[in-house]
Amino acid sequence: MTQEIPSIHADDLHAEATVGERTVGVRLVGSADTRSMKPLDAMLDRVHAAALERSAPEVVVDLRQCDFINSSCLKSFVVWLNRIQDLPTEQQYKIRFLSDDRKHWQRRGLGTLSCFAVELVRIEAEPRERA
Amino acid sequence: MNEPDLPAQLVARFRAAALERIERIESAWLALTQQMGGDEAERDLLHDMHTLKGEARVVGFADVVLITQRLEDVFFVARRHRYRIHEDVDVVVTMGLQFLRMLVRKRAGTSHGGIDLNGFLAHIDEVLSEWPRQPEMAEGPASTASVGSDGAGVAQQTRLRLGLAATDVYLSSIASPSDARLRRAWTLLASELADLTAVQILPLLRRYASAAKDLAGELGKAVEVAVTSPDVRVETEVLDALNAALLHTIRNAVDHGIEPAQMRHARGKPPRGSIEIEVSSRDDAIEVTIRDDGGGIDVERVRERAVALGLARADVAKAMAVDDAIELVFAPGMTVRESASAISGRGIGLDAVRASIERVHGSIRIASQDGRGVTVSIRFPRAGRAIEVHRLPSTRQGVVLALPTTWTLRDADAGAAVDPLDLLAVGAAPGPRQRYLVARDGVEHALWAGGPPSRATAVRICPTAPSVPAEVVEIDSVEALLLRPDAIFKTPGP
Repeated sequence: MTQEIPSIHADDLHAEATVGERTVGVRLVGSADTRSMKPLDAMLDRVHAAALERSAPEVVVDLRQCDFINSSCLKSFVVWLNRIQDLPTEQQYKIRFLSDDRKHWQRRGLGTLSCFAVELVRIEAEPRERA
Repeated sequence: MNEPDLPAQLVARFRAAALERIERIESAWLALTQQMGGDEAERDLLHDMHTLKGEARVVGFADVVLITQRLEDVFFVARRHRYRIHEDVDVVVTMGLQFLRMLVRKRAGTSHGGIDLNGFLAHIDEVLSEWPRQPEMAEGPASTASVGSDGAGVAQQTRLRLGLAATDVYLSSIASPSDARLRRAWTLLASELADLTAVQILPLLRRYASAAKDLAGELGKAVEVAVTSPDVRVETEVLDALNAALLHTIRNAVDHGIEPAQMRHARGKPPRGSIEIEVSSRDDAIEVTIRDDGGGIDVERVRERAVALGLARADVAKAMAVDDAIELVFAPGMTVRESASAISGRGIGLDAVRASIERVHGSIRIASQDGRGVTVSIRFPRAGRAIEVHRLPSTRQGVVLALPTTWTLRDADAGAAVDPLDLLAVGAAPGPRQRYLVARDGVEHALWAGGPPSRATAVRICPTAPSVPAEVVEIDSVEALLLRPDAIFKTPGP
């Protein structure tokens, strides 16, 4: 049984994971930069383990209140995705990002991330406000 | 990925070397964007990427070649911006290197959940096309969030501050002509400013000429690329817009314009396609023309696609003159191909190219002759670097003054006058001098000069803000002090 996944309470980043019977979710609030990399890597490791243990079909990552993730931390998501890609097809699960389309960095960052594995990454964007 | 029939050992060796190269490229990129990398980091970055591209081509990793080519395009522009880049650029490079890692590791028959190579290339192309409007990092590492800051304005202010500092050094150097250090400092500052404000166009054209031949080789086509250009410099923003236009135009010419050798033979054309890139420089504008001798635009196909995409009504499209129908290629969302190709991809459209050119007050037009090729003409105004001036000798040997021709200048036989060199704390020299009246909008100032004026065109090499009394310009490659009467003469003259 997976232990509870510790939250991150860094200077600018708050992140928490929720684990259900067959569901796993992560919510990031604030900004993730190079200082947040290690704790974020550790959290995503545990999230991956929890998803496998529960045979979760997907992990939901809520970035709607996330103001910024720099390129180094986006790399942490790529590494996570690579680990899913390395699994046998039947064990691969999907990552569904809840994003805020008004944040340009999310469109660019998640857009490039989804190109790594369009079948594994899904982006649900809150619609952009009309100009 | 199509791995050719190569010994597994060779492919394994490529994989191991490529991963090491990517690691080194990543370190060099990080150092350069954090402003901590010197020439060595830049050499590593460019050399490793170039070698990776070459090795990938040898072992048939075509998708790796495509990504490395695009990243080289990004590095080329980032280098010009001294690696002070927008976060978006950092994202596509960092993710691009991760993408390369994935492609290098990927083995035939494994499921990666759908790699979207074209989608990724489109992100890189978008970032390249948006570069002129992207806020740059004002200072500090790229890892610091700078989204939302008006970097373009900051860059201009930085230039003006540097211009002010350089003008001060120039004035000190002419006040103390025996101080060689001051002269060296001025020369260095002037050179740095020249690089910041205006860059040579020719290296960019040569780079695209070489890239066009590489692309043609990958497509099994032979293309000659001729570049004709005088030594022209343009603002960095203009060069970035031109970069986006060339990226699109040349890839399209090679991928879709130039026909395969067999088809060219059947059409009575030489087997080798031709692309000419020509730059002409006029007083008020610079024009870049790209001509290919390919098949030209299929105008009927453009009409059909415009209708299919809902960009024009069928009856309107049908009735359009050929030139108007060709204009449809600039419509947002327009693409003549139903599926993307790996080279031209489904990246930036011509609407984005036109938008980036219009942002720097330029224009782009396309002409096509069926079966004979396409001509793309891009025109940029010479944005404020050249100004018309009255040139006149100062009272000091070797120091030339200039006044904007928006002010009139005439002899004055009598009355008080001031020497601008005294006002600038350079120190006037005794000797023959002549009094002149500088006038505009009813305001007059009298000044001493060393001889009669003549009209000339000056080039701004060291721009300062309008409130600063002077800046250094060049007239026929000779430095001159451009005076701003409003600022230098604090009190109305006689």
